[in-house]
Formats: sequence, structure tokens, C-alpha cells
Amino acid sequence: MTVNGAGRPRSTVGVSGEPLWLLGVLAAVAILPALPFINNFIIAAVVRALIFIALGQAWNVVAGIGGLLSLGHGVFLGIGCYTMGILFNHFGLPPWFGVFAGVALACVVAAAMGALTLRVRGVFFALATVSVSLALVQLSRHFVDLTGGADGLSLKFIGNSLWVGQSRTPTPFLYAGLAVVVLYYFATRMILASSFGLTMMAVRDDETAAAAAGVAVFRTKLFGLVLSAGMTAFAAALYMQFYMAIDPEAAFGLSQAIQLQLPSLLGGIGTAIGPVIGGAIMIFMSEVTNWGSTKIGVEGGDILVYGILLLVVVLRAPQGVAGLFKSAIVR
Amino acid sequence: MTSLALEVVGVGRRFGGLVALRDVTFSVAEGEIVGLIGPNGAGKSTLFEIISGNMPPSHGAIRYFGADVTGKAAYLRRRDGLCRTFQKVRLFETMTVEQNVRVAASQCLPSGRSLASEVDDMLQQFHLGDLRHRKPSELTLADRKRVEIARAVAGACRLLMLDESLSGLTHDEAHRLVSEIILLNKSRGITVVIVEHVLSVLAAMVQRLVVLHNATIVAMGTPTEIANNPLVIEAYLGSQGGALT
Amino acid sequence: MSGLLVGGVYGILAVGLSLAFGVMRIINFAHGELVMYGMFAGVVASRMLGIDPLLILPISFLVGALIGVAQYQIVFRHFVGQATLQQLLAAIGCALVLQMIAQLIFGADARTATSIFSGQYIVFGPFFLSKAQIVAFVIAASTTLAVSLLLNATAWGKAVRAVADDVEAAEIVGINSSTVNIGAFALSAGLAGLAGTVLVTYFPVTPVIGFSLMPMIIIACTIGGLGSLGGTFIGGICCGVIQQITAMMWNSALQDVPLYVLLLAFIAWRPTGLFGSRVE
Repeated sequence: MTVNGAGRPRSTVGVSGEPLWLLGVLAAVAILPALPFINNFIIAAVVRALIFIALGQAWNVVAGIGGLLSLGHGVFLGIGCYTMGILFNHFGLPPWFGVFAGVALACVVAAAMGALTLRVRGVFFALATVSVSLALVQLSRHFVDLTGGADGLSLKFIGNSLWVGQSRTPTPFLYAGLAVVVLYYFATRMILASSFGLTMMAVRDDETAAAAAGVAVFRTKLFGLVLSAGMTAFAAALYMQFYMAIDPEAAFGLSQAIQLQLPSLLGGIGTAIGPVIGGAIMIFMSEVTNWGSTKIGVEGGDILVYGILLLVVVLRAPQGVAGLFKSAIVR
Repeated sequence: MTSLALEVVGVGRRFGGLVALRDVTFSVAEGEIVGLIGPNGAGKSTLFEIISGNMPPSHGAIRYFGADVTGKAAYLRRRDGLCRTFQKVRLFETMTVEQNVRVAASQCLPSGRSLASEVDDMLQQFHLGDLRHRKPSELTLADRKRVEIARAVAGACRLLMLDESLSGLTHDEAHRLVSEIILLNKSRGITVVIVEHVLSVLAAMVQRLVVLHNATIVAMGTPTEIANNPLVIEAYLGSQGGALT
Repeated sequence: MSGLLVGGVYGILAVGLSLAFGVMRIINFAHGELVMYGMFAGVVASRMLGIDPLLILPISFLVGALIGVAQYQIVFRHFVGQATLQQLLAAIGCALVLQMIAQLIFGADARTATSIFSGQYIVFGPFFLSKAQIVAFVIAASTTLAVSLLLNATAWGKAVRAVADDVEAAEIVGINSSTVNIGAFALSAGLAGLAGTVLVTYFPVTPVIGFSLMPMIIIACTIGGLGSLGGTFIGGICCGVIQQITAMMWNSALQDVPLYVLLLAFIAWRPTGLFGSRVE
């Protein structure tokens, strides 16, 4: 029996003409630093949005297109960040190489997790992803020498240097972030249009029927998970170089995992454009609430907002903003 | 001499203490259309799941064109052309009609054939050309069944197993579908096994009938032989009288 | 030995989750938050009212059950019968909201409660045991037993089991499945609240403790069998004992690691757990 019931995305094909206006928006983002009234503060916020858009795009591949209930994608973000950070701090390896070690390790872990848990019902996979990420919180706290324990791991700051991917100003990360988001956007469109994307959607809709259509269900899920894990760990490079630090909660905690899921949920799960819209909304809201809650003097306002957003989207608008637009156009 | 498309050899299946199938043996020759009938709970669905590879038999073997496929995964059987539909139509609901057919064709197409033309052929053959960009939820039941058969056959098909494909259809719709199935059998040489519990619709299209009752085969033969077989009449009248007519 | 005691409490923490899954096929990721509110109920009783937390167990049950019913009415009734991505995400959303509400009310600091047994130890042969833990175990075991009796020996329990087995068949024989579901969910949530108050007599509470309790709850359910109450309780005991053995033989900071390995092994090879019989 299938477990993926209600609230599936209606459409997996983007609105036509979508790339054009999207490219317009991205071009506008690209010239931001040249505008007079834009300061580093705003650029940093845009970079944060781009980072979480990219991470959301990665999650969207496995959960949106493939329908796998991965609630612990922080595992792959954390593996990417920690691998890069440890290799840099201890061995001086620049992130340009470290990122591939992180991607490789994330793919290996994803393959192992998938091999163990993807043959059984989806809910067990979900439980396993949550448990593995919470296990990694404990492990990364314990191995202090390697990970810096609960305080986390900070990259040694060297100064503006392309070689080690560090910069005092956020502007270089703006372009790096844009590049990854555009790359992931077109990658998602390609996956959606490919035979592989079709098999993923078939598995999402009905595993038994997919097998009856000749789809290698287990292998499709496994490959989707590994691909998504690799994409997450690759985008983790942006995260690590921009924030310059990672700690167990930021890497593997469930509130972080939610920030990886919200972009596609808000924007429209299973679509190429969804995470882009949703990530922008999410960071905008979190900036506003953080600004607001510092004023009042309460902490964790963004978590409350995330919780409420999650409930509202899942219960009221399962197709996200893209879905709302679409039904508005149809009407 | 024609070869055997399907051999079911001594297949049995238990669920805990319940015996769903007991020592079922029959075979289907290549090119045949065979009906599998029996009252509700006779074991038809179980047998279907075992042949298609969704459920392992407790004992016995399934041979497909001479090769033992008993332990083979369902999707590999499908790629070899052992195709099926479901009793309650199961389509990929978020995908278009065309994508439904394309996904099967892309997985099962023998090398050297064009995916695009295979999909077009299938849509045309089942009169789905105009509906290709529709979602399954917008279709009538008859068209949904048609999409499911197109998806089942696309790519490669040598043996097609239909699970109550005719039930729920109007008289006209059923007859149209029957003629399309016969066309598949004639033009593509596809062997057909069709499950129904109403015999009358089948009589016109099948060469042979296999009757399951209480987990085992009680009769085999031509539709006329079966209709006059006292065991069959008793099986039906005993459980749900009047189903024969 | 003290692993056994701790494990019993893991058991009662997990039994509610297992029950909700067994009846409604939903996984409540906010189960740990219900436990957290039960723990705060104990803190309020002990610190502000000066009542022994163990005396307010019925009230804790009520607190949990009330929050549970609200949760069910707002969120989970839309997802009965399907543990989908959406259901799991909605549950996490609930958890976050409940955490933040607790943080607004109680602040982010860790709080403890003291019962008359807190901080007392008895020596039993070679073992050195906390009285609070012994009492917690006894309460956990007897509550699980009582719930099992409730489900197996009463008419309401029969209705719950009928809905768990086959909703449509239950409806046909005149059982109103949505009433049964609310009741079962309230029971599941109430058990969490009660377990929280028991736990807080020897374990401090913070608003975000739910997420750190969740892995143990999930592991206990999976080992014992999701949907099997007795199995889940025994699963909890297994967790406690394995933790204790790991802590003694290897490293107490890594006492949970074998449990995670065990979880993956169970999911891979025996997803129905030790005592679950439902295959699909």
C-alpha cells in the first residue's frame, strides 16, 4: 500500500515563461551591490536567503519529486560543513577540495542509510532520518577534539582570500549563492523532464504501480536520496564559508532540518520554482521576526514563526505559494 | 508447436492458518486468451499477486516462457514483458496521461526503439491522444482503465494480466474494451490472462477458462464446457447464485 | 538494574506514541512536547504550590489529554490513517509551537521538581538505587498494565481495537470512529503528560526537552513494535538496560550509540519490532 496520500503536488511542470521572469529577478539580485542604498547588512540577508534556497532545492529533489519522508536532512548539511571545516582547520585543505570530500561522505552516509531503511514503509525511513540526525547531535558533541563539541567548530579566519574561500564582505557569497541557485533550478527542471524524474514521481505516487510499470523502486529511491544528499552537502559549502562556523544544533538539530524543508513547502513542493520563492519568503519572515523579537527581548521568535508557517502551509495550502498563484490564474 | 507463456506449478499460499491457495497448477499457451474466474475469496487476487511478483508463494513455482521467475522481482518481470493491471485502477495521479505511459515505456523499451514513437503508438492505439495532457482524476473510469492498460503494455509486453478490467463499465464500454484487448492479442501477439467474476462478458473473448473455488482449481475448459460443468454451477450457486448469467 | 528502572520510564513515555500509531496510523512528533508539559505540571505543583508531583498525576494526565485533544482537532484529524510527509511535518510544526509557548510561560532555564522520594537512595544487594526511579518504574509499569486492561477488557477498548484493525468494518458495526480516535488520542497524550510528571521527579525539564526525548521514544516503539503497547514498554526497558550496559562497559557519553545502531537494524530487518504483528 502507498503511504503518500493527500496533499501531493498537483503539477510538476512549471508555469511556462517561468525562467524568464526568474532570470530577471536574479539579475536584479546580481546588481544589488552596485545600488547606492544597499548595505552589507541587506546583502548578507540576501545571501542567507540564497543559501537556504539552495538547501531547500536539494531537499525538494528527494522529498518533493521523490516523496521520501526525509525529516533529517540536516545530517547531510552537517556532514558537509564538518568535513570541510575539519579538513581546513586541521590539514589546511581549502574548501574548494574539502567540499568534494563532504559531498562524497554525505553520499556514502545517504547510501548506507537508504540501503537499510528504504525497503520498508516510508514512515520508518522518516523515523530513521530523525533518529540519525539526533544521534549525530550527540556524537558531534562528544568528539570535542574533532568537532569542537557543543560549542561547535569555527573556521580559522585568514582574511579575504579566494584560495580559502573567505571574505570580509558578503558580496562574493552573493554571486556564489546565485550561481548555485541557478544551477540547482535548471538541474531540478532537467530532473522533472527526465525519465529518472518520471520514475521518482511514479514511486512517490504509488510504489506498487511503479513496480508494475517496470520501475526499480528501491534503486530509484536510493539514487534520489544520494543525489539529494550530495546536493545538500555541496550547498553546505556556501553555508560554512559564509557563517564560518557550525555547531551540533545548527548542523543536525530538528529546527535546522525544518529550515531545509520550509522553502519548498512554502513555495510549492515538487516544483522547480517552489524552493526559490519559499526560501526568499522564509528568510524575509525570519529577519523580520528576529528584528521584532530583539526589540521585545524574546528569543526564538523565528522558531515559533516556522512552526506556525509549517502548520498553515500543510493544512491550508499544501501546494505552497506557486500552487496558490496557479489556482488564481486558472480561475 | 506453440510454446507455453505461463506455467503455474503446484502453487500454494498460506496467510497464518488461512490457506489462500492450494496446489494450483495450470498453463497458458503463447497467444491464448484465458479467463480466470471464481467467486469472491476464491484466491484469484492472491494468484495474481504471486504471478506478477508482488507476493512470494509458500510453495510451488511460476515459469514464464520456460524460465523460472518464482524469485524474480516484480519490476524485472515487467521489463521482460509480464504485465498487469490492478483491480482498483492505480494510476500515477499527479502525472499526465502521457507521463503515465511514458514512465513504463522508458523502463521497459527494448533497445533500438524510439521512446517518443512508442508512447505515441500506445496513446493512439487506446484512443487517448486527445487526453494526453490531462490528469487521471479528470478521466472517466473507462478511460482510466484504458490508460492503465496502455501503461501496462507500453515498452514490451508478451503476457498481459487484466484484473477485473471490465467491471464497473457500462455494457458498451465493456464491449469496446474487449475489442481493444482482442486487437492487442491479434496485432501484437500478446497472451492475455483476464480475471473476472462475471462469466458472461468473458465467454465471447476467451478460448479457455480456469475456475478457482475455495483456494483451488475446480475446472478448466472452453466456456461452453465450463458453463455445463456441474461442479462450477455448484460453486457459483453455493456462494453467490446467479453470477453465471 | 537501574537501567531496568530508567527503561520502564522510557516505556511509559513511548506507549502513548505507539497507541496513537496503532489506532490512527499517525506519528505524533510533538509527543515529547506533551511529556514536557507534564514535566512542567510537576514543576508547578512542587515549586509553586508545594504539592508532591506524584499526587497530581491525574491532573498531569488531564493536561496532556487536553493539549492532545486540541492538537487532534486542529491538526491530526485531517491525517487519520496516513502517516504522510504532510502529517509528520504538521506534527513537527505543532512541536515547535508548543515548545515556544512553554518558553514564553516558563522561560528557557532548566527546572526540577522534588517529590518525597527525590534524592533518596536504597542499597539493594550490589545495587545502589534511587527511590525516585523505583517509584517511577512502579508507576510506569502499573499504568501500562492499566491501559492494557482498559483496551482488552472494556467495551471502549474493544471499540478502539476494532477501529485499529479495520476502520470500515468498525463503522459498519456502528462504532463512531472519529469519537474513538479522539478518545484514543486523548489517552495517548494523557499518558505522555503523566509520564512527564513521573520523569521530572529525577530529571530536569527545559522547553526544548521534547526533541531530545524523541529518539528514545522512537527507538522503544520500533524495538517493541509500533502499535503494540506491551511490546513498546518492553522495548523501553531494553533501551534502558542497553544504555546502562554501554555506559558501564564503554563510555557513558556514548550510551545511546548502540541504540541507534539497533534502531537501524530493526528497521532494516524487522520493522514490526519484537512484538508487532502487523506487517502492512
